Amino acid sequence: MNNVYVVSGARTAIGKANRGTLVNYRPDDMAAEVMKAAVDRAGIKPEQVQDIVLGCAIPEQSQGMNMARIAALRAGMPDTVSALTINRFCSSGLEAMVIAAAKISSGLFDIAIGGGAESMSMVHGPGARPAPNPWLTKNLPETYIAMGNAGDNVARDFKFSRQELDEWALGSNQKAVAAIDLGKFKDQIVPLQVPLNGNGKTITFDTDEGPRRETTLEGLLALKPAFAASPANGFHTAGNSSQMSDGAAACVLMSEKGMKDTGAKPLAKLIGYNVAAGSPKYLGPAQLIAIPKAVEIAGIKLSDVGLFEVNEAFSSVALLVIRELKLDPKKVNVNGGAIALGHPLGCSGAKLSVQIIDEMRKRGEKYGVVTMCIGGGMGAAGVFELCE
Amino acid sequence: MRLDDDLSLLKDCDWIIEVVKEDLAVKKKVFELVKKHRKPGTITTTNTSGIPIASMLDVMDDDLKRNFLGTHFFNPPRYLKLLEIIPHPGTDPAVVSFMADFMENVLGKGVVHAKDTPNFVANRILTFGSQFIMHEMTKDGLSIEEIDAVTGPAVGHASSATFRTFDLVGLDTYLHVLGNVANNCPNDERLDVMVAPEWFKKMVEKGLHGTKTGAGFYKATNERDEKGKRVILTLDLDTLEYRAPIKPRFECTGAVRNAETIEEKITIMHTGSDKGSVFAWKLFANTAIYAANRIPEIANDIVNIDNAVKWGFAWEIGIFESWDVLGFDDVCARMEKEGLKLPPIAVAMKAAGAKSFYKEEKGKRLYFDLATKAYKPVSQNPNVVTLNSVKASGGVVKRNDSATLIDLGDGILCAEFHTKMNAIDTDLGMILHEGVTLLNEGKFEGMVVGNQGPHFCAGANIFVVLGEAMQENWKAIDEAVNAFQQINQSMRFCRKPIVAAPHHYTLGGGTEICQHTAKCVIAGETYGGLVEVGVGLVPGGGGCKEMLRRAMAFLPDGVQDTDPLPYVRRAFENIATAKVSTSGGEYVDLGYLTNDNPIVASLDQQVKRAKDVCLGLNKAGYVPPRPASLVAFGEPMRAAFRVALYGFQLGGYASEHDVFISEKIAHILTGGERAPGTKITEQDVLDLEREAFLSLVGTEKTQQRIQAMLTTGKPLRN
Repeated sequence: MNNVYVVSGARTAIGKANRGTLVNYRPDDMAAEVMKAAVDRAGIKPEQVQDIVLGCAIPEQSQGMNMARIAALRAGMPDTVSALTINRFCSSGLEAMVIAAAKISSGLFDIAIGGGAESMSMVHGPGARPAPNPWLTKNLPETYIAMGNAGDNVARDFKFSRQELDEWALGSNQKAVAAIDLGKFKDQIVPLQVPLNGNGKTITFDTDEGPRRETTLEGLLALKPAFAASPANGFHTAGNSSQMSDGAAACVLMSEKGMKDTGAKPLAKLIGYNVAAGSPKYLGPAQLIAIPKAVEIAGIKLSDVGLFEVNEAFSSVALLVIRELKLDPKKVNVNGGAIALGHPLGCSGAKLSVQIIDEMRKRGEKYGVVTMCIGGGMGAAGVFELCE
Repeated sequence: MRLDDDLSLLKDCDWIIEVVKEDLAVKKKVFELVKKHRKPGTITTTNTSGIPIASMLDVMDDDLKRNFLGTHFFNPPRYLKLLEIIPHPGTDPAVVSFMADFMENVLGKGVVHAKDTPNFVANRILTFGSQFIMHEMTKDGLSIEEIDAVTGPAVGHASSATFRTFDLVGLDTYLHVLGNVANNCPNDERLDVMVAPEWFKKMVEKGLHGTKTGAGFYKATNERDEKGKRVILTLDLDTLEYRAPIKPRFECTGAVRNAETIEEKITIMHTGSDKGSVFAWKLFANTAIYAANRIPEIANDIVNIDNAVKWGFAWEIGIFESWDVLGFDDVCARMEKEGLKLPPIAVAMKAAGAKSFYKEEKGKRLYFDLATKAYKPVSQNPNVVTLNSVKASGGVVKRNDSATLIDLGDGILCAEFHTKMNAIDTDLGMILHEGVTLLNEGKFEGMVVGNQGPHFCAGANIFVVLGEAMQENWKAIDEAVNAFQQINQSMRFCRKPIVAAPHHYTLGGGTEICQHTAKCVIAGETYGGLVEVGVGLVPGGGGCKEMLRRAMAFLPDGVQDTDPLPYVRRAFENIATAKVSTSGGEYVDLGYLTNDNPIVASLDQQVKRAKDVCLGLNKAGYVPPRPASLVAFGEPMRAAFRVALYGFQLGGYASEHDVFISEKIAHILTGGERAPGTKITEQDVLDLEREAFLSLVGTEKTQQRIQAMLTTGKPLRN
C-alpha cells in the first residue's frame, strides 16, 4: 500500500443557491475552474493527471452525464485524461478524494484529482423526475425522508434544545464572519469571473456570501420551524440549518513516486477514512461509528486531533458529534460551518478537506478530521496529517 | 426611501392620489411637488376624509385645479365598497364623470356623489349618530355592551357596532373627525350634541385610544374563559376602570335572533317597548331626521345618503329604506307625537301624498326627490343586474326552495341558489338539471350559474350526507354523489354555454360546479378550493377529475418526454391540504380554474358580465368540449406522493386520517390500480371518486369530522 498525499487544493467561494452570485454559473464550469487551479497550484502539467474523480449528490441535468469528464474537457485538460463521477450524497466530495486515493494507494495510479461540485440553484433535490421505489415508500418510507425531518429526528431523539441549536448557529455565523474579515479563506479560493446580466461585463466572485453579520440569538429563536407545523416537533429553522449553496472544490493527490516524478510538494497525508451506516430516519449518528474507526485506522487517538471540520447540515448534527465523542467545541469548525458558509452537497466533502488542510498548515496543527453526515443514514470521516 | 426619491415617475402616471397625513400644510406641500412633476391633464385626487377640498386649491395651477377632486376611499378599501367623489366648483365635469365610471366599472366601487362639506356624507352621518348615542346612553343608563347589542347586527349594522368601531378607528382620531363638524358647521342644527362627553375626553387623555393602544371601550386580556375564548373586559363609564363583561338582555335583541329577514329585524328592533328597542327607535328617528336635513347640504338625494352608509359601514339597509320598512306615515306620526320636527323631505312627501321614499314602478326603482318634490328613477348602471329586481318583474322560470331559474333576457337563464350558505342539495341539483334541459332543448341560449347572496356556494349539504351515513344508506349516498357528478358532466357537455360566477366562499361542490362550466366570471373576492378533506371526504362531484384534466392540459399530445408529476402533484397537494384561495386571482393561480377566465372587481356587475360572456360565446359559435383523454399514472406516481405524505406526517402537518384520505386522493388522481400509462375516460375517474367517497364516509373519523364541522363550523383534524 502506497502513502497518499494531497499536494494542492482549490475551492470556489460558495454562493447562495437560487439568489446568489452563482445562480447561473454551471457546476461543470465551476468544477473546471477548481481543477485548473489545483493542477496549477500543484505545479504539474495537465497531461500528468492520470484520472479524475468528482463527487455530486444529484448528478443530473447541468451536472449530469459524466460531469467529471465534461469538466475536464471544459478545463482544457488533454482528452487523454480520464474521469469518473460518483455519488455518496453529501459526502461525495470526500468520497471522490478517497476513491482517487485508494487507486493511488493500490498502485493503479500515481497522480489523480479528487473533488466535487454542486449547483443547488440549477438542480433541485430530489432531481427532475423523482421515481421512488413504490415498495420502499410503503414498507420503509424513511428511505426517502427529507433531510430536514431527519435532522429534526436527531434533535428530538438525542434531546437537543432549540436554544442549544440556535446558539451553535449563532457561533457558526460569528466564526465565519471573523474568518472572512481576517482573509483566512483567500489562499483556498479560486476567484470566478461571473458574467453580469447581459452587458458583457463580469464581476469577480471570491468571497463566501452565506454568513449573516446581522444574526442575533433573539432573531434565531424567533424563527418558525422549517420542517414541521409547530415547535413541539420542529427544531430546525432557516437559521440553524445549512444553506443551499453552489460551489466546487478539488485536490491533486499523489503517491510518493508521483511527487518524485513531478517535483510536487505535499501539503498533507490522507491517513484514515471510514464510512458507516444506520437507520435512514436519522442524519448524523453513523458518524459516531465512522469517526473513531477512521482515527483508529489512521493509528492515532481522537485526543490527538487538533482540528475538526464537522459538516453542519443542521445544528443538531454538529452538536451530536461534539457531545457524543466528547470533542472540544473550540476545535470544531473554527472558521464557521455550513450553517453560515453553505453546503453545496456533493462539493462539501472536498471543500472541507481544502479548508482543514489550509487551517492545519496555518496553525501548524498535526492532525485534522473531516466528518460528513450523509442522507440514507450514513456517515463518513477522513483523517489528514500535516506534512512539514 | 424618501418621498422625493422618484418624483419624476409622476410624469408617467394617469392618476395621482394623495394619501398623506390629515394636515392641510403637509398636503399642500405634497401638491406643490406633484404640480412640478405631473404632466398636464393627469387626474389628481386627495383621499382626505374631512379636510375641505377647496382649501387645497391655492397651491395649484389651473390645469391641476381642473383635474383635481376628492376620492375618499373607506378603510379597508379592498373590502369596503364606498367611494365618495367630491369635486370642487372648478373641477372639469368630464373628469368627475370619468372617475365615477372608472371607480364603478373597473375598481368595482360604489360611488357616492358628495358635496365639499366637512366629513362629506358617510362620516357626517356617523358623527351625529355616535354623538347622539354617547349623550343619550348616560341619560338612559345604558352600558357599552347594551349599546353595541342594539346598534350591531340586530339592526343590520356591522358586528363591530358602536364601541368596537370606536376602538378600531381610534378615539383620538375620532376627536379630529368630530372637530371637523363642531368647528366648521355653524349652521348645523344639532351642534348641541357635537361635543365630546367629559368621560370621552378623559379616556383620550388617559391614552385609552382603542385597539392601537391596547385599551379603549374594551380591553383584551391574556386570560381565557372556560370555553377557551379570550376574556375581554369592558370600560365602566363612571369609574373609567375595566370590569368583567355583562351580557345585555333585551326583549328585542332576543326576539331578533329568530328573524329571518332584515325587514323583520328592523321592525322588531324599532317598535318594541323594552329599553333596548326604545333606544334603537330614538337613535333611528334622530339620525333619520338629521340625515334628511342634510339634503342638499351634503348630497342631493336620499339615494346617495343610503348608499354611503350601506357601502361605507357595511349596513345591510339604508336609513330611508329602514324608514320605508317601518312605514313612512307611522314613523312620521310617532316622530310628531314625540315632539320631533319632521324634515323638509317628509313634509314635502306628505304634501305630495307619497307613501314611501322608494318605490318600484314597471321594474324601475324610484326615489322621492326633494328638489323636484317628485319621484325620480334611481340611476342604474347598465352593467348591473339585480336578480331580485328581475325576479320581481316576472323573470322566474322555475323555482323550488333551494334555487330559482331566472330569465335574464336575450335568451340567457340564470340558475340562482338560495339555500343556507348556498349549500348543494337535491332541489338545487334539480334546478341545474332543469336549466341544462332547457338549453339542450333549444329553449334558451345559455345559462349563468350565479347568485347575489353572501357566498356563491359553500359545498354539499353535509348534514344530509351524515344522516344517510349514520343510517348506513350507502346506496342513497352513491346515488346522490352520482347524480351530482352527472349534473356537472351535463353542464360540461351542454350544447349551449354555461358560465359560472363564483364569489366569496366557493368551496367543495361550489368549485366543482365552476369547473364544469364553459367559462367563469370570477369575483375578485373569491375564496375557493376543494376542501372536502376538512370533513374527511374527497371531492366527489368531478373535482378530482377536473384537477387531473387541468394538470394534463400541460402535457399535450405530441410533446415528447413531458413529466406529469409536478402538475398532478399540485392538484394532489391542493386537494390533500384543502387549499383555499384568498382572492379570485389566487383561485386561478392555484389551478382550480384556468387563467383565461376574467376576474371582475364589481360584484354588482358579475351576473351581467357572465351573461355577456354567454352571449359572446354563442356569437363565436360555441360548441361543447370533447371528452378528455386521461392517463392512469398508477403506482409509480403514487409512490412519489407517498414520500411527500410521509414528510407531512413527520412534520405534524397531517394526521393519520389525513394520510389515509390523501392516499385515496392519490389513488383517484393516478387512475387507481391500472397499469401505468393506461388511457382512461372522465367516467373512470368519476367512478374512482365515488368509490373513495363511499369508503371514507363510513369511517368513524370522517363522521367525527362532519359532526364537528356542523357543530363548530371549523374543520376537525382528528
